[in-house]
Amino acid sequence: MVDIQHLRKEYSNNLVAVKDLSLRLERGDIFGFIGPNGAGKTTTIKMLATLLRPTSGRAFIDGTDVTREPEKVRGMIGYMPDNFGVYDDIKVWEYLDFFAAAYKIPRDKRPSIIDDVLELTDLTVKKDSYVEELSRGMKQRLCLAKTLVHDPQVLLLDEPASGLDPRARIEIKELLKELKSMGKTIIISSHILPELSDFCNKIGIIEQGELIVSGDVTEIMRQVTGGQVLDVRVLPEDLERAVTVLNGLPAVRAARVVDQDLKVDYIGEPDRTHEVLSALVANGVRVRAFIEEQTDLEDIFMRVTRGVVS
Amino acid sequence: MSLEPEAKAGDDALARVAGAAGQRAADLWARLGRATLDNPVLVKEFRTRMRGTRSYWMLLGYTLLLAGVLAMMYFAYETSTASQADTLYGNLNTQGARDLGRQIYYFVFIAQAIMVALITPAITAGTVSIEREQRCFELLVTTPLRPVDVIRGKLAAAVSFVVLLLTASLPLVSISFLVGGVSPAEIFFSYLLVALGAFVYGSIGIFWSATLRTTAAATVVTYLTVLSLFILTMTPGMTAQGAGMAGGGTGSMPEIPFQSFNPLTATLRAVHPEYLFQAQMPSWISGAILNFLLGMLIANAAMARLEHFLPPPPHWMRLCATLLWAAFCLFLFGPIMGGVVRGWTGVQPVREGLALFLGVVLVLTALFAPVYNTGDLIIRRGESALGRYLGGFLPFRMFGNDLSCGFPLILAWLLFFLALLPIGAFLTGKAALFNQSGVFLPGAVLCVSVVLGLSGVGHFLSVTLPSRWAACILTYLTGLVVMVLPYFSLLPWYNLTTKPKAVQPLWQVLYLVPFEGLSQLGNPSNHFANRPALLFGDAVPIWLVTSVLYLALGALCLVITAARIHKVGSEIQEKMEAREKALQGTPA
Repeated sequence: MVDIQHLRKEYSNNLVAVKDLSLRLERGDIFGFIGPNGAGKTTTIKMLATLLRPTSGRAFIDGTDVTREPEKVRGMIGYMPDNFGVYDDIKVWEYLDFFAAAYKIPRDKRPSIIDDVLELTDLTVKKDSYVEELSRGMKQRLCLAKTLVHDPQVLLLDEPASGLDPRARIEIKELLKELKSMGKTIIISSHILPELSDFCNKIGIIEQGELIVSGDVTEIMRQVTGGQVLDVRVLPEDLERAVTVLNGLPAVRAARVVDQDLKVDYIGEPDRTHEVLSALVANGVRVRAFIEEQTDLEDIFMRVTRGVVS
Repeated sequence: MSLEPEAKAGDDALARVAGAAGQRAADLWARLGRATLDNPVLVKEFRTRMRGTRSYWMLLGYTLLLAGVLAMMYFAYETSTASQADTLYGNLNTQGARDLGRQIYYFVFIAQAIMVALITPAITAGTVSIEREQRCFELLVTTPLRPVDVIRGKLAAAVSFVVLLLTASLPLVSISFLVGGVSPAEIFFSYLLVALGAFVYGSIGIFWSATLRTTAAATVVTYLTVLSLFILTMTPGMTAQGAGMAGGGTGSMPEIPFQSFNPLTATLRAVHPEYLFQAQMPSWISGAILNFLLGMLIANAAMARLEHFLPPPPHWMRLCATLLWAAFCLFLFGPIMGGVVRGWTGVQPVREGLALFLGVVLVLTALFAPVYNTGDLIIRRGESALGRYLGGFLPFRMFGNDLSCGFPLILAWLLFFLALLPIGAFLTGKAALFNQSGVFLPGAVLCVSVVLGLSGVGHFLSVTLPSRWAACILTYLTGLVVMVLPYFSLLPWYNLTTKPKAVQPLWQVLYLVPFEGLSQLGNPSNHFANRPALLFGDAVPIWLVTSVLYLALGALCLVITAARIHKVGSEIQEKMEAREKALQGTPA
């Protein structure tokens, strides 16, 4: 659905915003674009949205080249910029009607479509309100409604929840989950990682214009951590013995003590972690707790951007 | 019975034709809808403009101001004619009322023309830049809207609002009908030209709004442009009005062109005649056509300035410019030749007149030659750059956007302008004198040579300098230096008490000045009476030497340009091939 080949963007001041970025997304993929501010996320999304011309490389939306046929691509994507404004003196339904007409939706079909997207974004009660009277969260949802009026298959959402309060952020998140269930291909950028962790099946981490890592979330987690991390708590007097036992196991790469707890880098089969516990118990170590530590996007991001992978 | 199947086949064919026609009509209707009331930009602009009290206050202010002007005029008129009214009651009742009616008409429309020139920039200069300032532009750009939809919607909304203001003045204008003295045609054409003026000023506002980043900058530049245009276009009409009034006759000055180009002067001159060679036409025709084409050209230029949007096809803008050029030439030479050429008797006035006209043709064409002969050459993969460059010189490519496409265009412009001279002489019955003068052909060759020389310089600078605009400016400078600066060499010659008879090297630069050639053509027997001696003297006419020099310059520049394009084009092709291979070889 989205195919990016060696995309590069250089600005006139010799700043390279995006370097040789390649990516392939299938229908229904939710791709989380992660990176610090100024990493090149917005530039990449703008190139896909036909707003910036790549210096080199190509990008295709459903087989259509974004540089050669931008007008066709514009009808296929829904773009939500990170920093957008709204028109004054215009009502919510008029705002959506304007974009529906711009996307060449026939006049007789527009009212029902507007009602549908308003319901989806939970703005039905605000249909006759003036746009400038909406709260920031509502404006974000209105912008999202605008990107949906022509039912695009690909959504490009640049920091959709930035600057929102926790409630509005949760609302946007729920809305994105709804879109995921509708089978849309979504590219969503954010530097707030918990926003993405729930619903992205693919992620890409970009730093200084380079896509350091990209692919399936679980696969990346495995790549980055090199296996699983086990959190083992034993009685203090058994700590030394436990380290000796663990370091002697072939499925354990390393065991280290962190704040009186044991962190075990397990590289064996994922469903055979119980063998570690059995070995400890068999060697007389009194185990208080044995937990598989959850690796999240934040952890991956910190490891990757520190250069652990690269 | 046997006719039945044929009849059925005929019915089917008819149904197909009717169906196709119906489909076409439906498509046309849909397109018309998109262009007018289903244009989302237009609908949005209408909604937002007429919402709230701002527009109503504007409407009220406009009509109050007009009413104020009218009241002041009326009281002034009444005071000045009160004493006469008592004594000459019987006569004044009709004549005085007619005068009053005309005064009302003049004051109302002059006030309207000025107000439209002030209001239209204010409502258009921010239309595009405000989208950027409100950060709505990116949302607009990523829709399938075309630049023509955006500009047409915004311009139509702005002009419609001005038309609404004009309509509000109808009750005031109707007073002039009540007291008499003004024809419905005058009123109608004055309204038409004020509305067309709004179209031009609105286009200028939108052009600057699309070009400049901020609304403040766009507003300032728009007002400066509109003011300059207003004063410039007002000059011919005011001259005609002044001369017409001084004549004491009907007030007609048909030999003065562009009398109704400006909405203010259109109020005074719209129904007065202008010559079109031997014929006459009311001046509103030229005013309406020129304003319409100028507005269209600027609106097209505004479309091309909208960033991120795919620019409209270049041929539209070039077509608009060509039509405007043709109308400009026709309505410039039509009245002048109709008025002046008629009075020519003897060969010498014809020589001098033709030399002057050719000078005008040359200056005006040379002013546009650098714009159309500088630019970029589009190089496509697998296509010879040199072939593309040389192909641009073909006449049918003149509406294209390549560097060389400007050459046939500017040549066509020049030839059209030149062709008006013999046509005018023929239509005004002076063809024989025209032939006897022997000025036209040498002068035309000289004009073509100079334009070719300048075009060559433009091409050479375009492939030498990195920026198109730098090439354009430097071409203008070159033209100025070569065509005008040599005149300064005459200053020391004029200061000499005894003029040297011998040929001096310094003054040979005069061979570069095309106006010297035209001047000699206009006055062949007496040219060197007031000029330093030139190398070839009377033996070889100046126009011939100048033509050869400019042709050589142009040809040299074009050859160097072609060689450079061939070299650089091949390198770029190789790079593109290599990049394509690299892309194909690397898996995504």
